Amino acid sequence: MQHSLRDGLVGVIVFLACVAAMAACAADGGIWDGGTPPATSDAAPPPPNPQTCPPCVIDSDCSGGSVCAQIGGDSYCAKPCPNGNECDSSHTCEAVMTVAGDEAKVCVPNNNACGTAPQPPQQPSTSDGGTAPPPSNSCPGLASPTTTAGCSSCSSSSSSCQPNGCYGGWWCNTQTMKCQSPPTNCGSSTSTDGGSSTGPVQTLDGGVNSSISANGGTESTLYFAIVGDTRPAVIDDTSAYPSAIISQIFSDVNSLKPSPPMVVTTGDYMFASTSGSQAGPQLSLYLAARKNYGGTDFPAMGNHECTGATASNCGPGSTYGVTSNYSAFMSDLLGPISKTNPYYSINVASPTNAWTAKFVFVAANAWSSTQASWLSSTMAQTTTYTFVIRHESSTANTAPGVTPSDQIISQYPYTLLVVGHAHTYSHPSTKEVLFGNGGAPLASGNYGFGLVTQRSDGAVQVDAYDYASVTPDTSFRFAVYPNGTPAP
Amino acid sequence: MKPSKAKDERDPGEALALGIGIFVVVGAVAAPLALRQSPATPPVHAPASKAVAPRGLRIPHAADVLRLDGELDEPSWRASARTGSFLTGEGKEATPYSDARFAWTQGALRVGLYASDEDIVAARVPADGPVWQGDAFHLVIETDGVEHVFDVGPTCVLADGERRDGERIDYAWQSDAKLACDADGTIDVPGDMDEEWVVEMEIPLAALGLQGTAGERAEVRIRRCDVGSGQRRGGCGEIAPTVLILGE
Repeated sequence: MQHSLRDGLVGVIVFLACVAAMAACAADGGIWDGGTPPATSDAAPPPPNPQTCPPCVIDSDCSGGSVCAQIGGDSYCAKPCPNGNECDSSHTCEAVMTVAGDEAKVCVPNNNACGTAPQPPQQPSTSDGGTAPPPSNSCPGLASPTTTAGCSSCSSSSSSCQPNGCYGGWWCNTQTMKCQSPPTNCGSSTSTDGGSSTGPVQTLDGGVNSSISANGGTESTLYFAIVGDTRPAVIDDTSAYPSAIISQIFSDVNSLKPSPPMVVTTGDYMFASTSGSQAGPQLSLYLAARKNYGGTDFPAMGNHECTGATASNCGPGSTYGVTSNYSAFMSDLLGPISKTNPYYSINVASPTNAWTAKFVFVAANAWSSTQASWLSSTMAQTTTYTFVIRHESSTANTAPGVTPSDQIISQYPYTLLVVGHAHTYSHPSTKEVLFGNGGAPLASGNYGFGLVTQRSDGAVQVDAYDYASVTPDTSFRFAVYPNGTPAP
Repeated sequence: MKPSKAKDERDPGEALALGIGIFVVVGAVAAPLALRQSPATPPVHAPASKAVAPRGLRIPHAADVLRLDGELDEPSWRASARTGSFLTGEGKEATPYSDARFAWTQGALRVGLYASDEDIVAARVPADGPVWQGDAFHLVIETDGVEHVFDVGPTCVLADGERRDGERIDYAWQSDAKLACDADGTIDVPGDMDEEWVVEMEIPLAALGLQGTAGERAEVRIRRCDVGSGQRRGGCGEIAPTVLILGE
């Protein structure tokens, strides 16, 4: 079994933790038992030198024109060598696959400095000294190296080319016809947020194959963007709507390779008087800006979709009732995805059901007992990942639904609470991330967006991207496991 | 506006000592801090530069009646003249974001001040006190060599004064300005996330030495400094000196 840089680091950390606690560590591939990060054994090989093999998840993690390529069983930044003569003596120009699933010639460090190509899973020994059943060659959606399939990463005339069209032990994704690293948990049951056993899941290898519609869908890799707070500074000031910034942000998201198939937006798309007529025109400007993005947007409701006051509560039977802002939000933003309540959920899963995720959109400014009941029942549904999207953070507790929804959410496992409201981006607590820098007047930081990417160890990495440079703030980056515990 | 809690208990001496310490430690990056000012320091000692040639801003005449409530929701605000984002000393958009807008009527200059702020802090001082110890705008309107100075924070406590011939500001001077403020957030509660605060103000033209005739001019300089807690303390931003021209 190959060990990536990240695995290696995890192994070291787990090893140290085990020594400190005088506890027994699991052997290689350690069991993920509810909150404990999946670990490799302390016998893991040393991780590649990050100077030689800079780890990456997508192309924008790399600098100097390098691309994020699959090398040695993980993904690293590598300089393209389209002509075959661009590499120095310490590198060899090789044909590999990028994380986007495209074949490319890049300079690969010599002597397997980034690790060696993965081999097909070995048959693990059983406790009675025998061997466990061989790994399945019929993992749904994936063709093993010995199975004939239509991938074309290599030529059949090459001796290293496998029947599935890949090489180096890689499996063929029969939906995308692109090669990817071997699945290690094919056929395993879906874990819960509580963290029952699960192993690494699919990465961006082979690109993101997705089918997302109004009710969710499938993604080969859990991958989505976050945009929040896109209103003007002053009420009814439609002429100052931040269209240029919003347009740029959605254009940025669209330009990522791969482009996230879905975006969640954290609210406050307008600043309009409830007695005026500017809600519709402002949402029209938002939708025009959003056209720069080709994926699906799942909007959460903000306080400005009620009256504008953080403490306001809207919706039928509520204090402020159905305001013009509320109506415009429901018709213009939720109508296209066929949502009839400002609170809703969608489900996303991998094509093989190796993992499942639910996205729960809470409307804290349309709070009601009905929503509370819905939230409880929705949170009770077992999924690998749970993302709760709500406009206000837990500290903005004058919004009617913040404290009550916090009480419900806290009773169930979840991965991350995604919020906005403050016009900045931050990581307020382990399980909460804030993106409100989508165009509304900044309180701090830069305009931009968030990007959530599933890693091969099952954790999700969260990045904050600057809208002008389309580069992540590396000091911000963090990751959490499906149960919300920090991941290294 | 939300109820406030007890003010920050750090006394000015501690703040000054802290400021000196920070200055020494980060001396290498002192230049970007040049725009920042201690909340204990009256902003009059660090006015926006007058060395830059002022730009002109023609401000429209407003016919509607202003309801002073801190909401810039009257139609005339939508047609108002705007400064755009305040800038840092390096010319970049200052964060937290601030802007100002202007209109005028036969009797008053209307000023709208917007301040994005994730941690709103107000100086608990009386009128004409050191408002600048909290989040505040520092507005100077100059006509005929006389500076009319207005410092106002999120609770709408106003310190207005007049300075003639470069002398000390005379806070006994009263502009008779009317103003209202609105804060979206909780003032002086450092642990939560606030959004913004707004000042809506009418200053009698007569107090500024203006007659209310189209074409009259006044130079304006504005700075806004953010006083947050910990890492949520922003810097200062300002607009370049601007000549307001009463439009038709």
